Amino acid sequence: MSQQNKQNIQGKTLSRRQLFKYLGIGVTAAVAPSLAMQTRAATLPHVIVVGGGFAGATAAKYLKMWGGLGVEVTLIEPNSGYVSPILSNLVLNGQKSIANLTFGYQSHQQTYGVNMMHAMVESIDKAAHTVTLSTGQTLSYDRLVLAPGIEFIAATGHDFDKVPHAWKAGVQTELLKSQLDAMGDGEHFVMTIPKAPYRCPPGPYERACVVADFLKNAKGFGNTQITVLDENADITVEAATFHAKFDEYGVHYVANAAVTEVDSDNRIVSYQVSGGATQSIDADVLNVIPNQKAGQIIFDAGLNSGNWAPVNPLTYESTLQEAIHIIGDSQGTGQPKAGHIGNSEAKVCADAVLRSLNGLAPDPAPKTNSACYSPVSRTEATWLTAVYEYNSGTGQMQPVSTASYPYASGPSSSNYSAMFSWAGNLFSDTFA
Amino acid sequence: MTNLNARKWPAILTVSSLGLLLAACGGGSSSDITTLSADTATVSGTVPGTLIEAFCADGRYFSTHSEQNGTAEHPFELELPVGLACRLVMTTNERAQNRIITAIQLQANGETGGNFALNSALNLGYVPLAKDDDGDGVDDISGQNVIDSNGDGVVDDPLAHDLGNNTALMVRQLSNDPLDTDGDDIPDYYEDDDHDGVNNHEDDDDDNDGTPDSSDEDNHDHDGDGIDDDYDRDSDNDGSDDNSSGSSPYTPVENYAVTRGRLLASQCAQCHGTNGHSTTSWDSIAGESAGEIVEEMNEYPTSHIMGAQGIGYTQSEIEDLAAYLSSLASDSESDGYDEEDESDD
Repeated sequence: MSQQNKQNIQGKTLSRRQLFKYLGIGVTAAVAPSLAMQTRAATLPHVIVVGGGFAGATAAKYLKMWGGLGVEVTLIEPNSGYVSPILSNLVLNGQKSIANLTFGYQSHQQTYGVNMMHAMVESIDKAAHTVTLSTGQTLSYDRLVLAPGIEFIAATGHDFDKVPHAWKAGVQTELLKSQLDAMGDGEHFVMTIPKAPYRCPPGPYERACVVADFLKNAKGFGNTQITVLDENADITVEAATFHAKFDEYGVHYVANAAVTEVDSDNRIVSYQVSGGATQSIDADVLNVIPNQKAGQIIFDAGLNSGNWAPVNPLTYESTLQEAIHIIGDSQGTGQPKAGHIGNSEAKVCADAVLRSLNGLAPDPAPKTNSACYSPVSRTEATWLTAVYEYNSGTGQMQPVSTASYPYASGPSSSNYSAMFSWAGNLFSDTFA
Repeated sequence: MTNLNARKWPAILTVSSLGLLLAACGGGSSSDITTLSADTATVSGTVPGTLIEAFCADGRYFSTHSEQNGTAEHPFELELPVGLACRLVMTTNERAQNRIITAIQLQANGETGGNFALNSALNLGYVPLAKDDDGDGVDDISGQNVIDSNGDGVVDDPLAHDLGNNTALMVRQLSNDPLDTDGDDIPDYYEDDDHDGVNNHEDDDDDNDGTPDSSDEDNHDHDGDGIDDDYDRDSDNDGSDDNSSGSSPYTPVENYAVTRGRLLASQCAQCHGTNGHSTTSWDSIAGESAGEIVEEMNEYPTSHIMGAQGIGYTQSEIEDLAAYLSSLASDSESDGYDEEDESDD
């Protein structure tokens, strides 16, 4: 091979091939932006996926796995790795580490040939079909798939750096863990649960159980207090299971409790029950999970209706804008917001996008499914699952009408083991 | 990534094993699978005595030698699949020290690139490859110097061959072609990644880590053609399609075609792994018979998570996804965990 194509990085000579591997991006992405746009073969459709979580990473992988060399796919994600919120409550009790739950995008690049770009999207030009990145580059798309996850609606006074939400995994999880580790017996742990819809329906109840088990059984605190303030009228999923565990752990559960203000320095949460008088609790460790809405890019691009992005669930194309699809937690179909079903929606979307690029109609009756295993202690877990079908009358997805969902099981150690088999395949289907 | 890529753990999970056919999957026929067209077409031309090799996007490898006909221009014919992206490399004096390996770049219909796909039979005409019988570094035919900066036998620049307007082929420029990662139109197979003056194909340790490539655990592409073994239809580049012996999983899709079963079956993957290849103790479901999959989807009670999934699918959906799954190659290792049941969830 020729010597001319070598470039010098930090004193180390790399071939172009190695250089692009080193930078973690495809060839097109590495050349100057204007040139990139010219050199992209005019004949190959380009799909840009924004967001490398469960939904976005799955979409990019399946677009290339199914579309092969007939499509070019670029995944734009600011971080070099993704920390899974799934299983992250087990970081709080020390059974998992953040490193255990961090996934990179090597397979996307090397196995599937996805162009990987680590940047933020600054703006979308819906008419010109271009996105502009934090790096200054502008990329054109034939289809744009947005998977930006959730954004928080913070209560007055809520400083995430002092009162963690730990609802996006990573630094926040470690902050809450360090606060829990520092707790002494007799101290008070208070957590608040947002109004539905929020990411991972069983997640907050799972966390309350895992933390209660950690404080009472692992640390042996006989006098610790645990309070759960839930803005919903009752436990939203698997109510019988979680009520039973709360009773067992002595968790004080308050329904219809809406957070009105957080004193982050003093860890005092104010709330109203069913709109009544404002009450306050002075906590030793306070975990406020804020109310949620679609990722900010959805609002910036004018793709929202209320807090979420309306889409056609046959394709996940925005009902407000052609050629832009929204999947995962930001989409507003009424399906739950969670990693497993985000992965599921991504496949329906990828199939529909590829069909559309090839002049074919989408599958008229797609199915999606959700499943979630929730640990409730260091040894037991529970699960729930559902399959969703398309209702052509309402144009929406709904739990399969003949199946009487949801089904819920009781906690067991066998479920705890199965949880890792479930999560392992979900992780590999998404990231490997 | 505790569970990622984990091998099966029979000892750890006494419970979950009973073929937790989690995401719903079952049987039928395998008639409607997505595959490339079976059609082939001939690439022909003349060369100055040459090995002609084609590296293709699904990992298949094709080669032929030109025919010594007593003239300076030896004819050849090579059958390639229609519509499949391939790259050509030609070698003169193949077995000699002074061999010259030349990657071919085609110019047609306003596009220039090494990656092309046939629409129909293609005649390249005479391909003016360099040849150096006396090993003096000068092309015997043109008298031009042969530029091979690192002495690995591969000329630095691909030979551009102009075909004008030609409906027999499509030339493509890809920004991320696994066959040619750096986009210089020299296939990775003939790059020299570790700069030791031996091209990757002839280098038995092309990452210079001291472990021969053949036994190197970080080597997922044993024939070095750029296509990961898992996706390579000819993972040893012996010229014979692994699929015909049933040992290779699947093919990257070039010409888009859909089946209802594929999208439905992909919804099994959250719990059973991509294309039914599990990375955990739960069952792999790729390559099970359609009848077996249908049976498994229907046999669990709804107190079991597989049963709770199973009731969400109609019988015809189960048959469609089972047909697709049964068409996929099964795991090489056994997934014989079907004996134990999980009765308590």
